[in-house]
Amino acid sequence: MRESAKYTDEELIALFQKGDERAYLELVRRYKDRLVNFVFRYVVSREMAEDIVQDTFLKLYTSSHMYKEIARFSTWIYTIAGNLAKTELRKRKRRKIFSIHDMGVDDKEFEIPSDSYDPERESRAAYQEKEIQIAISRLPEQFKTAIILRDIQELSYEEISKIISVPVGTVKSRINRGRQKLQEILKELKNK
Amino acid sequence: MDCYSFSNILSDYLENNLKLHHRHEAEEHLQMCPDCRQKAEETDKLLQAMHRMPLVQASDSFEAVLMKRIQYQKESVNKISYFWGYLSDHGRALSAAAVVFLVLTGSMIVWRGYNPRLDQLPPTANTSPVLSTMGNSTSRPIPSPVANKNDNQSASSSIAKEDTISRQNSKESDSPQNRDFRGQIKLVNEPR
Repeated sequence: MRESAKYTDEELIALFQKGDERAYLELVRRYKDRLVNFVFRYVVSREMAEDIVQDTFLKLYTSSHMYKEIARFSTWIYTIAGNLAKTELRKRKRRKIFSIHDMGVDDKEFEIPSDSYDPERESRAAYQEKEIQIAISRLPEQFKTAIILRDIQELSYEEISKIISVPVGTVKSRINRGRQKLQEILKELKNK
Repeated sequence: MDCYSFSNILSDYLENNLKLHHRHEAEEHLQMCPDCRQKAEETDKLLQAMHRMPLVQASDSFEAVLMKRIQYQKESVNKISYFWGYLSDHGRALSAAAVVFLVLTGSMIVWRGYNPRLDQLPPTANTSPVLSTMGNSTSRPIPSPVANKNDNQSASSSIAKEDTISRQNSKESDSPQNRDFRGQIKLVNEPR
């Protein structure tokens, strides 16, 4: 295998399908952070996000033959992670243990990078971020995925359309409505 | 353009995805409508804040944990395939052993004269002091010679069991309590 950075995701998955485990490791390295970030915004627990992303890569390992080259690898892996995250959220709703207060521990792990240390600015930014995280977690399911993929993961409308299997027009509409819904939730949070 | 139309194109306006004439219409509306202007400014700030949100990264141990899970999965698969392999290799021997076991169990049940009706008799039916005493003095069934013959001939007959129960009753009737009771019955039966 030549220098792994030169390979596209699709070439790597093809190599892994032929049995090259180094290609698998390269895919893990490329996607682990992106996926943990994506799933974390969904489940609001770092530990759970890591577990779900581990399951995603385990699925990639055991079911790599399911990938067909008609879709981009990123679309495929985001779809798997998103579905696992949704299943986990549904389970938690059934158990009724979900509480937004769970996010307290994970919030401490956020640090906004800054050139000069400014405690006031840092605390203000962290507070804002916490508010946004709470607001995202309160969004209805159909808006939540679209908003996370667009505004946090910064994916294109076309790619989001493939991941959530709806037309581009519907994605745009959901994102537009989702952002306005997010504003409403943030206002409610400020008024409390 | 009215407020409703503007809210439908808000995201496209903020992401510069509108055609020139639509953009002019939107800007004209914004100049006239302070509510929509405020909404657009707030949404723009929210988008910027979301883009600034730091990436939640996978932990340092992520890959090591994943590799362990993959290893564990491989071992589990090997164990299962070993089990099925063993079954297919020794399938005939295991089937023969199962048949022998079933035949032996069936023979033992037949040999012991298994009769589920007798097993279901209530245990108090023949052990009540009153019934057993009355049976001894007045209506105790005397085994007929035919029955005795059957008793000797067939170990599996239900009469054998009845005989055992009545022998137990006769032992109980020798207790002091039962003897007193028998005396009272005699007094009642005597002519006045």
